[in-house]
Amino acid sequence: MGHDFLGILSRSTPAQARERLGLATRDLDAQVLQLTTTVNGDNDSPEREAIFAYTAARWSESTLEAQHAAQPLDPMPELEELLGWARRYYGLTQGITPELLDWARRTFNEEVFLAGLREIEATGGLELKDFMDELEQEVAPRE
Amino acid sequence: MSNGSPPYQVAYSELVRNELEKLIARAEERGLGSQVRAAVRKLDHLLHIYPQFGEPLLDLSFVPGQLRIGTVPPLVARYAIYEEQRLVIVTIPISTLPHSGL
Repeated sequence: MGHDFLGILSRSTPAQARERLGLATRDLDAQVLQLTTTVNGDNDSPEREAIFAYTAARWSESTLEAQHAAQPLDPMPELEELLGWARRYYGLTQGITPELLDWARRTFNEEVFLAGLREIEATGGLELKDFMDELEQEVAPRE
Repeated sequence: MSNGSPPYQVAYSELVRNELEKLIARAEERGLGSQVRAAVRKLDHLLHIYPQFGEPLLDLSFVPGQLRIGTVPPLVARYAIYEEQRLVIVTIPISTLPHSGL
């Protein structure tokens, strides 16, 4: 796998990459997974960026396919492994504990969620960049 | 995203903004302000490019979407992804992990 493969990966959607490379979905996932074991460079290297972008796009593609088929999302092992690689790529090695998951489900307040959803539908919601600077000014650092 | 996929739009509710203000204030008082502010920015960045980093909590029915939970220490966020619209919404206040000192 050389620069051509990475070039195609970085410039294409997963569907386009499969067509250009003549590979089935699972085969291309497997090749990209193989690439994660050999790629060098810093986190910001084009190779890693290409793998990350492919992984994110594959997840999105799989989710939409599952939604359209009204089936639960059930990623192939290769994609699961790529998702794990992507988590490590961003240093997200701290997993969600069963206790945290239990807490999150127990304390999920549907009314609060829906009220926020309706607000965002009505107003478009807030973006962090629009209010973070303001928050930081309001809360003067004491460190 | 280098393969042409557009980033996700990330929208926060007013409640989340207000609670985040209190959280940052608390963090500042405890000397953890810069850590929390950096985590908030990293969380927002991840939600724009890779909201899948969190784990699924439940499927949302009326508009096909998924509620997920993700951690960027010391923060823990619950958010919904609407893949078809490439939209992420955060309407539940962002919390902190246990034993984070906050």
